[in-house]
Amino acid sequence: MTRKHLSRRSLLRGIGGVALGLPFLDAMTPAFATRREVAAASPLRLGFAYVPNGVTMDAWTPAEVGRGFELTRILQPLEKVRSHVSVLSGLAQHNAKALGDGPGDHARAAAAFLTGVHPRKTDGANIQNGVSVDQVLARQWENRTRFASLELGTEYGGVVGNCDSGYSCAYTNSLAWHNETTPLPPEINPRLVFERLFGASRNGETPAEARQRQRFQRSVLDHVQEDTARLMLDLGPTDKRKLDEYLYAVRDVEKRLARAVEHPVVEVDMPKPSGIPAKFSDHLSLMYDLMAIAFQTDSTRVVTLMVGREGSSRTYREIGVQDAHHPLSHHQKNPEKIEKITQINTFHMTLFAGFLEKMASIREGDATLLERSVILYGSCIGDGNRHNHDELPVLLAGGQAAGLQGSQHLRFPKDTPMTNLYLTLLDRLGAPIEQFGDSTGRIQELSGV
Amino acid sequence: MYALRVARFVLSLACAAIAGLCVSVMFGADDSGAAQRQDTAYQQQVTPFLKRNCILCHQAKNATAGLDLSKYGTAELAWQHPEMWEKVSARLLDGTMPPKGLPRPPMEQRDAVLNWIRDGLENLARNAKPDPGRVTARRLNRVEYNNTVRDLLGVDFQPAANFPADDAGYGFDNIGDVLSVSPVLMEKYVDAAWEIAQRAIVSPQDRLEPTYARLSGDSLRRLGNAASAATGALAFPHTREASFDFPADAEYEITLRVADRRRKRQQPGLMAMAVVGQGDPQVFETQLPSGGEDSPNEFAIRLRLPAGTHTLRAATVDAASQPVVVRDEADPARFIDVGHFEVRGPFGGARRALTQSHQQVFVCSPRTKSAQPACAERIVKRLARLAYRRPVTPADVKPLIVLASAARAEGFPFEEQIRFALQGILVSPHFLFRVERGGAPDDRGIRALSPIELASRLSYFLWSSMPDDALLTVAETGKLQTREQLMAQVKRMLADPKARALTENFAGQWLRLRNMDLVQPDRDLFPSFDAGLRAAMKRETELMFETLLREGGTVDDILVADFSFLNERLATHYGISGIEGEEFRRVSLAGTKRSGMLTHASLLTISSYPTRTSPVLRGLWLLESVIGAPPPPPPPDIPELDAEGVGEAATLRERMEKHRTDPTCAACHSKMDPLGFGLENFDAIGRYREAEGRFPIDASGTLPDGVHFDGPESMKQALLKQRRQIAANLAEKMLTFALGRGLERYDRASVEALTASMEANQYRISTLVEEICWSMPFRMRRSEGVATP
Repeated sequence: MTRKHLSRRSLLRGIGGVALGLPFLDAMTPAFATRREVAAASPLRLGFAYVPNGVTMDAWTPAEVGRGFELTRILQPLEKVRSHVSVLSGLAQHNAKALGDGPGDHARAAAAFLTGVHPRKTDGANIQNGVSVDQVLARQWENRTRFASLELGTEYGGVVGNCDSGYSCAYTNSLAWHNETTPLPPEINPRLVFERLFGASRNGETPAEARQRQRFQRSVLDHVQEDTARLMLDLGPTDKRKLDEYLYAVRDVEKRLARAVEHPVVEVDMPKPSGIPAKFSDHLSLMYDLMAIAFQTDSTRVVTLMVGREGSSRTYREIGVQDAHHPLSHHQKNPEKIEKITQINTFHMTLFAGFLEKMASIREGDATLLERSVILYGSCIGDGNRHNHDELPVLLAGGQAAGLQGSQHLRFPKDTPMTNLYLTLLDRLGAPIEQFGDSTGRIQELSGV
Repeated sequence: MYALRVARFVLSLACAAIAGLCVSVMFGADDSGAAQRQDTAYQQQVTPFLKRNCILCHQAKNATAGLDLSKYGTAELAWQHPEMWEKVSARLLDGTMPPKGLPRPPMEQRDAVLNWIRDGLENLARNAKPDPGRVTARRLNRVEYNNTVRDLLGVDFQPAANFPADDAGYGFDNIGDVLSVSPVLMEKYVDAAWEIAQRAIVSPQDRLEPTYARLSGDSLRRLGNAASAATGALAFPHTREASFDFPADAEYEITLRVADRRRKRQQPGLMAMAVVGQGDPQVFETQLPSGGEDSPNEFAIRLRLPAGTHTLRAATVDAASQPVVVRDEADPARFIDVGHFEVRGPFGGARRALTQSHQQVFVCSPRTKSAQPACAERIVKRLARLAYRRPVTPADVKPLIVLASAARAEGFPFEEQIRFALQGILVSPHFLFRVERGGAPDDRGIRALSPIELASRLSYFLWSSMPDDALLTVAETGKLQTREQLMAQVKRMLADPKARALTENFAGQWLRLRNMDLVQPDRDLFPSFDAGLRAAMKRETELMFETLLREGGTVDDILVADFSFLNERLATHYGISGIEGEEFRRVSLAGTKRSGMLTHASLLTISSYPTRTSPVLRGLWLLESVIGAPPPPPPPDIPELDAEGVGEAATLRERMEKHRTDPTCAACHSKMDPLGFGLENFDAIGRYREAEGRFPIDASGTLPDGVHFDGPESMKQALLKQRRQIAANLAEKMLTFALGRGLERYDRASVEALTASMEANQYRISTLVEEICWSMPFRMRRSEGVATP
């Protein structure tokens, strides 16, 4: 009740002290293992961090292209990890544009960012988007880890009403979409993320008792599937669709419980967060910490994190910005407001840089966790004042083990689809697919070694 | 719903233009006359408009977006495609058509077309076959889940608190089509079921682990005047006491920590602590308030206590072992206050005491192992009937029995067998979803809900929870058929404390009052805004709505009631004196600057920015929530006007006036902004003000219908003229909430009938609730056609 939330230092200590039993800790790699064996035991990961309301592009985009570019004001916090980071300019998410649907750029931005699909404009029934790229990968890898993917955020979803000009809150609440109609809303509370990953402390439950509980929970889910099948015989198509969704979720949890046998809960020496820290920077850092430890413990290999919800009206008092983010982003070229927006952008980057530094400090076999992780950071709105969905702020970090190179600024032809980048990343992660969203091909600059 | 909303907006245009007459225009004419007028208008106004503005892109050869507007010679032909006209209406309204770059049609011509579409939709609605609509199987949302578990088992610990937020649609979070089940949610259901079963049912194998609780703040009461009536140890006015529910007969440790006031004059003294009825008080010597973790000013006692709720007390005492009262708190040198109590325990692996829910669940207890199956079946049948909210069949019960038997086969005690069956119930689709499936439709494809189904609709509408045994029994015995029978239940249910859910969930979303939990007024600008004020603001509005509902309050009361509910904190905020203490009471607002609900601090705060008021936000909130005439969203590529308006109020107003001279902006801002300016006398946390900075507040304005007002009260008087529209909006919103689906074109007749009922009853809110329960869409459903297996 009165426990303080986790400090950054204690996590570092925690991460150093991850208990044995992980498949790929140094201690587990036999001295005579071949390179291939090491590679098999050293998974790659994919992570996304999304920032809302666009950024001040003048203070983001480096002047020079290629290597050795000068870090701009917003990118400055990346100084220590710049060799791991590439800035990608010229990318666009065409399907976030209105395309005849009128206002609602924030909702479309969030919905289309990882799907490359134009979301259907509706604030009620019949939401429709597309599967997101993280979920494409999660489905391919789902049997490898306890959790196919993890969705994190820092702001609760819309409480009331539609969230943006007639778009359902489902579109602004979630980046990850399991399929066309099922968004995967992020978890906001670090305590709940922790409990999900590493188990809730249940009144002194022993591992044997936990296994027994999970076995019974599986039999409960078995029973439920029969029950549902019986119920569905009597239903019309719409009700049936709801129950189908339910059945899918039941099977998914059942699979997860089954996987828990193969991939038992890892004990970590990280204090359980007590809840949502009052300060935004503490909260976001804790979410990044959880992302890092989820990767490190191989609890999952796919994570999406919403630094803020699209259209977020958070105020950033801790850096002296009292105005709400979203209204501020409609700066109308007012220099004072542009300055504040830039401060917010830089603040977000500072926290992201802290995460990259931590990832770079964790060794895994012959590489670092950052080198084994492809992390994409960006927004699906360029300039918050214009709501444009081209010239997006995007950067890639890590991924050397997947053949990515850092420390460069690449400029692609105008309107190069984000989805081309996603296809290329899936290639790099060893999970190629033919086509995705509105993709038109691969990005050559990133596909060659 | 979309159709309805568009039509409503058009309606509001018409209302604005010919104040008050719109009702007769809409519903007065007989059908043949209406058809005639439709065709004339189509030939003379609509067709020329389409030719000038639309046909270029939307005709046979070049039907952009699949839309061909050139091929309908008469209104009759045109109206074979109502969805098409809904779409046209929406595009004209939000200004996306004609597209940028083409000349804009004059407003009067556009409005004429919009009116024609509105009239046509009206005609269709009037002549349409009655259609109660179809509600999709509704998953319990978080609130409903919590309440249902509470009422099913009597365990009230908010098991859904950690569930992902429910998506909302049509303004509410109980819409069947929108509520989905993600794998994460399923995982939480499975874990919650386990947790609930543990809490509700006590197993002889349960051993209690010691836990820790701190009792401070609000849980510490001052005995005060109650001291004279109090019994037991330390019954003094200055005594602090707290209650705690001890889970088992066992040993506990209770720690008293002295409040560290750091007052220089405070001296060491004596304090006594006791558990009432459990032995003599123990006296401790306190230290100087040195502070610091090294020498905490605290004392512990360890004692054995029977399970149940006990009262902890502590008080300053005199030097002798005999406790003596010091004068009062005003004597800081001698008065030592309690910081908090801490309770640790139970120690020694105590067995859990049987909970009330346990006793409810176990309607039998088998003496022998062979008696277990029969008893299990009785228990499970009873639970399943309540949890599934209907009579259960053997097919329902069998799989649950199988779960219990599996546990028995593994040697689990009887109580744990039931736990597994209970988990089966709690993750079953019959529990998690409200499915309406019985009965054959008539030849119109419509069927009345079974009384059992109706019972669930009633209870989830009025209580956001399951039917209680009384309601289920009435339904099962066929006594929920006539209007009298139904109304008797509605009255009973509204009188039940559980009906508070209707305020929290309906009013909380209709007025967006729930956003009160989220707003973050700037701390520097509004230092007086704290948790206490936040809670008080919300409570005022809840109490007001509850009262209006219960005591026959009307739509007029929403606008101008001359009373409200205040406690000291809120009264101080309002500058009203003479209200003391935490509890809320009814207070006359006569002679104050406030009346009705629009001047509640809560609603003024949720429609403001963290740092300042926004006339646009407030105007938009009024139009959307109260008046029910939401303007279309701003056209693309135009930044929100208000966003640029930061600065002194005077500048803000001037700038916004300027905006409204631009016709694209004016169409909507001339409706929103005046309403917002009318409330400018209230700052961003709802305090009354005459000036902002150096600038006096100008809260005057002119509504689109030409009515001028001068300040909040006269604006509310002007709004009273729109009471029918406000009632219609309330009816539309409440029907949406009651049904759990978006409204469609065919629901217009129901909304109109509900509004007419209110009109005939002084626009009472309670009338609306009753009439919804009796309405066709509430008591019937359209068949979707049963899928063949």
